[in-house]
Amino acid sequence: MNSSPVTTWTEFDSRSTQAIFTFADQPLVVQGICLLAAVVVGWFLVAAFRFEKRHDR
Amino acid sequence: MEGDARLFAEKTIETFYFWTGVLMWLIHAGFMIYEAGVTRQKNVLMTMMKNLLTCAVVTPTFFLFGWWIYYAFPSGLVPVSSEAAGAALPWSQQMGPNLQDNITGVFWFAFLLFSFTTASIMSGAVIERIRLGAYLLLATVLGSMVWILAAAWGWSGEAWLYKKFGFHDWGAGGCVHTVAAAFTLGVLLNLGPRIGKYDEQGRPRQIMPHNLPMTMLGLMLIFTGFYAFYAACAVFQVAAPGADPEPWRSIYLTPMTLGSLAFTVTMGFAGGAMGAFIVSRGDPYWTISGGLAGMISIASGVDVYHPALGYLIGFAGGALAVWVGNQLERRGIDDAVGAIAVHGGAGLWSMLAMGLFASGYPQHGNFTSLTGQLIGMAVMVGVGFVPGYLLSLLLDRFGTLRVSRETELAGLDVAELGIEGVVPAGDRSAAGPAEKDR
Repeated sequence: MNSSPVTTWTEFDSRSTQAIFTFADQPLVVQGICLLAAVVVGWFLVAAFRFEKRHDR
Repeated sequence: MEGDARLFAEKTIETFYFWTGVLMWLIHAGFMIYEAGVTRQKNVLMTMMKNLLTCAVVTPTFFLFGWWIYYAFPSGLVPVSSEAAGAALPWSQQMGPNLQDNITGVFWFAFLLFSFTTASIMSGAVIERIRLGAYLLLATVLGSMVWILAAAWGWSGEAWLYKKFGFHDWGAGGCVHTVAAAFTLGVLLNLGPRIGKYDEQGRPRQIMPHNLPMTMLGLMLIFTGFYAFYAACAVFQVAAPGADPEPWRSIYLTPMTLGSLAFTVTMGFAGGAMGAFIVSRGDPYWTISGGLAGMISIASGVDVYHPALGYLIGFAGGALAVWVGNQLERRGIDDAVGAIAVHGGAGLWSMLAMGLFASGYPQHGNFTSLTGQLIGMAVMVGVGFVPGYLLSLLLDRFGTLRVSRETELAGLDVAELGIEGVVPAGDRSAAGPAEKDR
């Protein structure tokens, strides 16, 4: 998946280039990734309760 | 003045790499404590001896030929004759105190610590039954020859995988972790499982760590040391007088920041621990191992990942490590610490994730791509597995790979070292009179 916000070496190595992270030029994708990460954290927190309950039985 | 500025800059670079090397020793304190906790009490001292001697044996061999291999084999199996390769020979002017060269010594030191790490990845998998001499020979070959050849191919400025295919393995998920895991798999196929690991029907039994808190503390030290490992992977350069300031660069000379490590290595750790926790249903050993798997999963692309993406990649890597560990165990491969699952599973995932999520980044003359990553994965597995399998097969044929059944049952501490590593509380009968009074 092409996720680079820079397309040429000159652009990549330029002093004026700012964010170089994956999908930096596609804010909606980055927001979607952050949302997915938040969902996974929520899943983990629920799972932590579930495993605790299992061990208490 | 320009000369003074240059010397100051070189001393700053020298100081940086020197301390990354020092801090990377924490990885080896961690490996020692981690493996000592995993092993049964009867083998604890031999396990720690093995870790200690790994560092001892890899140091001179890496000085004598490992460093030269890195510069001499960037194009394949035929050595090149270059100024850099000549300077890496152990008798060159650069390979010792030299007032015009502040850099070679600390670079060598940082790479030496990478070599310790690679050899130590194998050390935990083979505990409780490998002969010390066989292990040290294998560790020398892995730590001072095999991984550094893989690094020459995939990690150096002239590496053919990078030059021809755009391979990108920033934090050595392939060159260190996958190569070491593949080598270890080759060794384990010949070494076989520990006595008692499988029942008569071939079903695996769990051999419990003798001190799980010790193991968890060991991994916390490994996590700490890995920040220094990753920092040492960044290239600290100084601009020529009058030129723009130089950014941090990856080993492929692409621009980056140290902040990317702070973000993404830590997010990868968090994701890995959480993923392993869920898939292992809260198993403490796999949860903390998952943290390491997460830190490895982001290795290849840590310079460019968004931190939230690093978290998700780490999460998948932690989950994958548990699954790979269970699959290997069911197939009769007794990896005592899950090294292949953590370093191999997450190492391969690291290279693949780079191709899946971070293609299209310009490098010198090419771009990062999924194809380049797949080729790199195949090469890293092959260059690790083949020598590990063949050398351990040879050692096995000569009867020098594994300790005897009697030694294994008695425990390696008493049988091989003549002392108990841990004297049970209240039982000091093995100790001398002076010891009893302590």
